[in-house]
Amino acid sequence: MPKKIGRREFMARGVRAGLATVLANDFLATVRGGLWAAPAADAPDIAVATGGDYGAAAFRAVEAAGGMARFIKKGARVALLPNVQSRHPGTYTNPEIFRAVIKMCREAGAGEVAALSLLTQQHWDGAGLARVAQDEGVAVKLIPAEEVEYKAVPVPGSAVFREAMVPNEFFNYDAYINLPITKDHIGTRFTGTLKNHMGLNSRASNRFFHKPNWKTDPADIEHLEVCIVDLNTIFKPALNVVDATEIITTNGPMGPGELVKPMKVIAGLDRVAIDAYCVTLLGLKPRDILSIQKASERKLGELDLKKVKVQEVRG
Amino acid sequence: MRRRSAIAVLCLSSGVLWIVPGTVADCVPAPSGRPQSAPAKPLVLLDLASFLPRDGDVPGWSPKGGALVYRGEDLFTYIDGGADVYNEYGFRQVVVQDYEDSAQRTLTLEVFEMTDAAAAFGIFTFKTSPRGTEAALGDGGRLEDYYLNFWKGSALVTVTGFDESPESVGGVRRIAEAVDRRIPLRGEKPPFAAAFPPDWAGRGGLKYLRGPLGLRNLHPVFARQTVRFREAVAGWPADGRLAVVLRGQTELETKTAFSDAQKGFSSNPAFSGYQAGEGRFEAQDSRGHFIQARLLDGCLALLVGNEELSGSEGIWERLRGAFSRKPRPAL
Repeated sequence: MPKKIGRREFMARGVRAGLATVLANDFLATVRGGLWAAPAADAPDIAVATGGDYGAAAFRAVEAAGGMARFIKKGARVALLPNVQSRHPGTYTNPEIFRAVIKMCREAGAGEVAALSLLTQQHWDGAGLARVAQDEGVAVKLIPAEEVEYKAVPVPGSAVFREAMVPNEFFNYDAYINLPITKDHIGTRFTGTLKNHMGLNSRASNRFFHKPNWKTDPADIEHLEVCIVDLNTIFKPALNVVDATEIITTNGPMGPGELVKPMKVIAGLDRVAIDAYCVTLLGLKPRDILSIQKASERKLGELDLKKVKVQEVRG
Repeated sequence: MRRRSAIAVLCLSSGVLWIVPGTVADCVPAPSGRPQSAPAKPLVLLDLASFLPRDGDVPGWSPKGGALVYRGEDLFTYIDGGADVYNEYGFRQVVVQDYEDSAQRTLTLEVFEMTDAAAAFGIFTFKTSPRGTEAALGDGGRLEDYYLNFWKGSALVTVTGFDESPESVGGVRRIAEAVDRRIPLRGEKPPFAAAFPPDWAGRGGLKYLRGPLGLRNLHPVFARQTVRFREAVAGWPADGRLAVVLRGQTELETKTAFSDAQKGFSSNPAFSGYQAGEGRFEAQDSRGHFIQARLLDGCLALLVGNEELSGSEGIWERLRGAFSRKPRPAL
């Protein structure tokens, strides 16, 4: 049920929203650490590395995409956004991929490197990423659920989702690297780069994505996917590095489920193209997933894999 | 968002039952489509901790760390994004305990208490696939590559290994057997599920459903248009052909669901070729999936195929026979 607000709070929200617009636009448009320049002519849209050493595959994928220095500027403060939702096999970002990305950021001259998460220490411990963070000297910033920990950020041109609640901590960084695992999801059938951005919106705000009849009413089901796309319009990852090494194709996102092992790590800027590629690893087509289709329509990236330059590397 | 009330627990009868002050509505989100105005009454929960194997119960495996319990909406903390399907079937609580062997291999045991045996059976069918092998545990079990599920009464047990090594899979089996010995419950498969032709369960496993999330995950056609129901059972009578039989709480509710489905499929732009007759309709979607629907003696049956459904009269006859034989117990 919508909460009624008084005039005083309404005014305060307006001021807050206006301030957030300035901050968000400043942050999102002039982010110092991310490289928004046109890619080199010979750079692929997405790079895919296949191999049994997943850390090495992450290095090769990023290298093939142009190298971390193409995406992260020297001295940049970089936030990492891995998926630690569950600790069942094929449900969380592989720790060795997380480690490889930390190392590549450091080699590229990044300043502070930290990980952001709306989940708990138990999740980080269970997925084995807490140990990697500790080994590599990376702080894991667990964002509390309280509203005061988030900044309201308008979503200009949104279809339905008008205001995101982004962790204050996020604004302490110059760039972020999206580090999802691609896998099955019971609600949306697929999760990857686009949906992982829900990790940058408060859990309370994410609840808006689920309308009361989101499981039964086709319009409400679509609402969830449209919200994911709206949310993505305010974020620009400096890079996406996607774990498609061992992934579940059933019982997602929690598992345990049927595990397949494509042994791939995918790197690139185009979230839609990456998701379009990854969805095929689950035996689906890009147009089967509404968020991919809608994101393509909103010009967030290319859905048609025939138009995407994919560079595959092995070894 | 409903908040779980402060919970104090009282142990009764040698650790089998716990009474939680509060109400059913406080602690157990009602499955969709179920009456939500149940009178407030103390909720009696199982003492799930008593089902956990202790140190020495399973040679070579010991508990690692403490057990964690999540009740009601706390499930979202444990499995954010995956909790909805448990709630759809009817979730009460889960206990999670890790085990470790001398080589530091780890297993995770989860014991879910569902609202009733039908809910436990349903989530069991949802989580299992025909890839696995049958495991003689509880009221039914299945071992898959690296994990095992079984249901027993209102409990669903999931044991997950973290690799497919014989040592891990052996540990998964032995932990599951030890839990089975500790659970003093029994349950029956829901009669509606038992009526489904058993030989159709082989291709994709029989699925017992209690809500639209389960239905959506059966076939992409239901992501574009859903159907309302209280319980459903599904299986694959032939390669590429899915049969789903649904019913409402009353015959009238089933008929209303049928007429709503007619309106939905006929007006949804994702479907074309809609044709209807007395108690039946058919359509196809833009991905080339075909769907036929028929009212069968108080049930709504759907047949979905990846190609035209001509020549399916044999399947319809089996369904008519299976679901018309005897009066079904009320929900």
